[in-house]
Amino acid sequence: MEIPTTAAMKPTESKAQFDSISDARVEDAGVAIAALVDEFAGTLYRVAYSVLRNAADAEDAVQETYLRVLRHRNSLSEIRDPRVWLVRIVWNVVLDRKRRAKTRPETDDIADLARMLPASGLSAEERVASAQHHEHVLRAVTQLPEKEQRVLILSAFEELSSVEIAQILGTTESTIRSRLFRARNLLSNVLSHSRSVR
Amino acid sequence: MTQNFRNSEYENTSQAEETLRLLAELPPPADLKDRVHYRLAAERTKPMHRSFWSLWMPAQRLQYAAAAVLVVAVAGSTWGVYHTRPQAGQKAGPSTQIAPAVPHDAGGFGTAGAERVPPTLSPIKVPPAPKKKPSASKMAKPSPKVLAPQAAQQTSPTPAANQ
Repeated sequence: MEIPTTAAMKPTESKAQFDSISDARVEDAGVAIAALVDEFAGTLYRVAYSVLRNAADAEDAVQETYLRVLRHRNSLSEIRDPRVWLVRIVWNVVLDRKRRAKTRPETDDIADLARMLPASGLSAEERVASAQHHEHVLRAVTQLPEKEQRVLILSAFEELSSVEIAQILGTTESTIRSRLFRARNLLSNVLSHSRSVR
Repeated sequence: MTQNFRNSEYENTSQAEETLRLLAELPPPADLKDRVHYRLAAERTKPMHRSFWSLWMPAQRLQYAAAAVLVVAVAGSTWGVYHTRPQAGQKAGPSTQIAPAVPHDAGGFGTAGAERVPPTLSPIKVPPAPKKKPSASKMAKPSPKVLAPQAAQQTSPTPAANQ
């Protein structure tokens, strides 16, 4: 997607002309941001939800992301890949919020979340078993180190490549690959250990 | 054995990733975009934050210019204060009175009883007190410590005299 670029700033002779150009710039930026909302609000919500696991918090994070974009509307034309840029912003917003709400227990959230995951075409018993499995997996993911956990969460988004994940997390692609490999191994160990305990 | 372990490991991981993928694909609320649009519109129509200075001086460039003038004025006055004081002192001479030199014989507390006489007042001349000659009756007796060695010299004979 290409962001509608704002009108180029040129030296003006009269104040009226300057005002009309700046108004046009503001209007163009508004149009560009509206297009970004229509295109990426869903993706940003899903990214926020996968970390926060709370619908209201995720929506707040999305709104805050677009407010930040609005504040930096003058530099919209410099953005090359708006999707990665927006995911990066929402990722930072989400991590900030998670850091602030660290004291809140997540135990109930995980159980609720596991029940919310789709299980169409399954019988009632199978749904319960599926929810238990999801809960088990999500708890195992929370036991991973933070860096591995982040890479694993972002890699679940099919629209994000490893290069884009690297851009979002501010690191290199090879680091992402090695972290993902380590995360998968750790997750497998945690899951097999918890199964043997059970 | 190892192959089985690898298979179970792969199964574990793929199942876990399937859960994460399902989580990542949860649909957003239907009216999310509308709410975001509404919030952005509300933010745009919100009156801009105006500082105290903007009430008095609306143009931002003027504010910067005024701030620069204030900084230059403060810096200039500070420089002036620190650099003009010694020159003025050299021209006008010392503004403070210099205390008269105290003779070394007077000791460390020579000026303890000194009275400051303002230069605007004409000094009052006091006639010197008449000197009285001390009379013989009121003459102070010499202390025994002073007299004792003299008496000792007179009474004790010297070893040379004994011989």
